[in-house]
Amino acid sequence: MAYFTREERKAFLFLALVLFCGTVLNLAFKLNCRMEQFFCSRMESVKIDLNKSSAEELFRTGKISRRMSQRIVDYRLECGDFESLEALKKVKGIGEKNYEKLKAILFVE
Amino acid sequence: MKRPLALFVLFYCLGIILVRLLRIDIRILFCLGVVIFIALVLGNGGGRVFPVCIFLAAFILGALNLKCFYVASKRDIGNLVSYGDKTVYAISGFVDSRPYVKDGNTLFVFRAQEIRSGDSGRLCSGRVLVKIDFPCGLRYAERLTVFGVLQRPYAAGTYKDYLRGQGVSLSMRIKSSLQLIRHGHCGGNMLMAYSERLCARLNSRLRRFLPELPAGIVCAMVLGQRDSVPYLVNEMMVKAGTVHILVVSGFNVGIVAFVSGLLLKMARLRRKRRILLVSLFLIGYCLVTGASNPVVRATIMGIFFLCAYLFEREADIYNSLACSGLCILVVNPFQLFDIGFQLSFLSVLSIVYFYPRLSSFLHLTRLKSGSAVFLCEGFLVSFCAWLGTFWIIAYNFKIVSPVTFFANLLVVPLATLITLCGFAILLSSPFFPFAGELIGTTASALVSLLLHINALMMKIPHAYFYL
Repeated sequence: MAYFTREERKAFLFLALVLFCGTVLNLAFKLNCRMEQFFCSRMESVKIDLNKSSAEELFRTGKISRRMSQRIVDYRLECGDFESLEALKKVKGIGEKNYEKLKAILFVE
Repeated sequence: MKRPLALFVLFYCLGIILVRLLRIDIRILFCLGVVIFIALVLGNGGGRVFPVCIFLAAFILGALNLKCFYVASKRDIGNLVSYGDKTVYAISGFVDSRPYVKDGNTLFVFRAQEIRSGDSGRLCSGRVLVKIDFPCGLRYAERLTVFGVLQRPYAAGTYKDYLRGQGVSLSMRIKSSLQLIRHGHCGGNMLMAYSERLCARLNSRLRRFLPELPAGIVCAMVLGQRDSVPYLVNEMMVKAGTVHILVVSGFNVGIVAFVSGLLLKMARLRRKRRILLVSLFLIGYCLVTGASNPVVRATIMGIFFLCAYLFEREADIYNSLACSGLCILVVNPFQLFDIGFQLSFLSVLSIVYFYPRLSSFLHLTRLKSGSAVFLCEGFLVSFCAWLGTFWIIAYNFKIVSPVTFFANLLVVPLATLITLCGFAILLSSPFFPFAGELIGTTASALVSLLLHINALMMKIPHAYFYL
């Protein structure tokens, strides 16, 4: 049988531990939905909700100018919440090009 | 002399910097080179003349290398197109870099081979930066004919330098699919094309076992593909000073060396063969991850250490770092002015230089508790890396993040575990898919934890500030 060094034994231990954690987490996710929400980040969790964000929050993303973020908020106040992300194109100054950029950072619930 | 290679590379870099700052005629440099070569031959007997001439030769070599890099061939596409030219050209060639998709646009470097305008055409060489306004699923080495107006991208300072470093002389924007004809795969380097295909396969394997968000982050950590890292995650990590975990570097190369060494040991291969095969694996991993500066540096350093082990010699970290720097600069001297290159080398140099000194100054060896040693060492490594790089980051990105020490203390161990999980998925899933599922669950939980910690760090007052 091959002799394993301390580091190599650690590698096998790590693999066993990861498999064990995976099994426990799978079981825990089935039993507790809130735990799944915390431990399984979805794309939406790293995007900004278009209907809930302020002009300042939109501006702070770094992808929207101050004027554009104000226009988005003004449109929301005027016409109500955005039904889909596509509706963003109705805002003055947001064409296909800008929409493609904003799609990566915004979402509509 | 204790570290001759490190000193040689230092002079080589000084030569590059001098040519960058001053306009020196290439003939003067050649003449100086000849004089130094003669002095080298005459001073071969020993004494102080020989080492001085060697370092002067390194200086001239560096200067000449950059000067030759500036000189474009007569057939270079940059010399064929004049300023303000609005002619629509048809250029044939192949995709010479991995296409990068951002905000629905595709960006890649195109190797031009033939240029046509109207009925006249001629052979050419050189590289063109092509931006396509739609995603089109292009791959490295794909043969194309592109139609459009060629522009000189030399408008803004740093971007101009970046493109110059890539050997790019012109840019072209493609707005419609009618401006692009695809001819299939037959150009480029076979090895690079194969490694790109392998990378795509490994990427899809990771995505099979991980949800979308963790998959993007694990792909960046393990394969160096940052296309799928969400913009806001990237921004958050830049602000917290933890974005380095999304870059493939020495740590990943170390894992590849360790795992491949372990597997070969289990296959009962002899030490010499094992070392040779591990070196080949490292080179393969370097190509698969796109051979970026940190990976090339780590791969060369790794091979340097393996060779030292093979020949039973002591490896010096400064010499190995210098050797990897020289290899990169000989191929492309412009890399010396690349921020990625500077950050990669300075962080390692800073850790290697400051860590032992600060560790002995703070008497870390006196600590008895294992967890206290782990925490202090982690903090010190993080501090040393920051010490070497913060001024470059502050100068180039105008941001200072005091929170970075605390953030790295928590984020780096987590990132280590995530990277290990990523490698474990790649290795185990072909044979045991159920193991891939379980490791994937653990990895996605760790990614979530990492994002929560990062977000928490950003909420600390004065976590970061812009200059």
